[in-house]
Amino acid sequence: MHSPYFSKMGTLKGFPNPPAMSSARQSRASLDAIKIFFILATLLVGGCSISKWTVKPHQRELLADRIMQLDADAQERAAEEHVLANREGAIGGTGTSGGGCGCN
Amino acid sequence: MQLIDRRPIAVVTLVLAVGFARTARATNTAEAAVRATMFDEPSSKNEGVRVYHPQADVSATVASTLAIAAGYSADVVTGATPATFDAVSAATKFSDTRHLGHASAGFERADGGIGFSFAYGTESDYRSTVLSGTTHHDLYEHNFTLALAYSHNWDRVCDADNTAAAGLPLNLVALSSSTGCFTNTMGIVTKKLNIDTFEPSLSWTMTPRLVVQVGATIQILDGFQANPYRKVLVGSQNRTPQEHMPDFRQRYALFFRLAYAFPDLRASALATLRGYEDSWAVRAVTADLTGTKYIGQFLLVSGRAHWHEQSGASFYRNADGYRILGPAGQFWTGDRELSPMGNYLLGGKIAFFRRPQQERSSWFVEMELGGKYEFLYYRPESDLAPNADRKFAHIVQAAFATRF
Repeated sequence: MHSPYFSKMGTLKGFPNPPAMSSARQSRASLDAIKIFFILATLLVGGCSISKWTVKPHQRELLADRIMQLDADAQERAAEEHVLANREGAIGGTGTSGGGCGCN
Repeated sequence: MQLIDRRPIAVVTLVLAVGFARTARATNTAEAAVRATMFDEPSSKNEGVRVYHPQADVSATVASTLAIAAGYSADVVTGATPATFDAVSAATKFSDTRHLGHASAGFERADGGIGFSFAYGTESDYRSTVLSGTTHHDLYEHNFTLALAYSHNWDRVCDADNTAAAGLPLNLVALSSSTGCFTNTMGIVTKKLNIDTFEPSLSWTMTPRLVVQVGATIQILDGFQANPYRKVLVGSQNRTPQEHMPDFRQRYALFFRLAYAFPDLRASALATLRGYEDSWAVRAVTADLTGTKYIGQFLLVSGRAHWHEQSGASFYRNADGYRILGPAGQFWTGDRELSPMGNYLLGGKIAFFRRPQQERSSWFVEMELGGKYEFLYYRPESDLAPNADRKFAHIVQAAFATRF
């Protein structure tokens, strides 16, 4: 995606154009990313229909351990995210929820 | 003084909202936790930057389905940074304190839940109000968890009144100090920044040893995003206008995470791979690997490696680039996080647990005392990149938690 503001405001007189990506290229890249996400999600959900792939409750002992939780300590992860998000130009990827443990 | 990028507050709030609700549900107990982090970034030219980040949080499960949490954190920032992005300006000293409070509530059932969170942050030149909502649902005998999280920020930024610039970016004047911010003082205005963050994810318990997760983060920022204090030397006529950035930014990230157990070693490995792109043409790849192992009954040790590589924003140039070539378009920045750069992080953590011999006769279920050290090494594009004098940072952390 390309910023409409960035495109609209143009360049300053006497200065060269910015080396920005074209709108079409950025849109294509974003569409590709969305496609990849949905393909992966479909594959994951599709895989679940094969019953031999499911993990039974009595097989979850290891998964219930704290060291197997993707989101084990919210306070620690918030501190890590706070530091790195301020020192890197990218955000996200921390996961909204997870483990998929189903231990309860 | 605005030093730290506050935009991550949206993501941090999501982490807190989801994390504490799930922690309380999983253990069906209450927890109180305190943590103190020191971030020290020395400079080869001045005193650098130091941030103290204390956190205090409590969470509990009420009536087995309602999880509530509340917390407070702060950033006490001191240091020195150049007011003008060029090759020669000396740094000026500054200090500021940010306060952030948050509260959340979540309703949990056996196969899913929903939660809401509120956060408010304030400092001398920036105010942030955040509302978040999260939901997750287990599918196919708890083998899959589909989760969605959304947050909206209503942020306010203090800035110099640039009405006299008449829309010409080269005439923009930087804010000189935070005195008078948010008080209707002449010459100072308040600008808006609205942020929407959406994060879907899908987790799969693939085998009794392996959990994987795929997800995405989409963030849209609309409003004032520059550092109001920062000036940039632009062109060869010694003009130093205020940093000027587009008002609109769309950010996208795709991530893949996994947790794998090594039962023979009583250890696990957690890995994250993230791809990122935004509408300012920043592209990034990040990888993170953490190995954790039990030693004896009460000790947990872990090691972590983190790698990040990114391209610069389309309007970024280094100090000589802006001076000799002028700006790329009509935007200019002195923000290191918008320059082509990379970093490595290496660190380790140790945690000690104590559980009572007879749980029923004790007032606590578990106590945890932990410490962590991480070394962050930056790889700027060149010595003319922003903050190139700060090559590395130390992160030291101590934490204590009690579960009831």
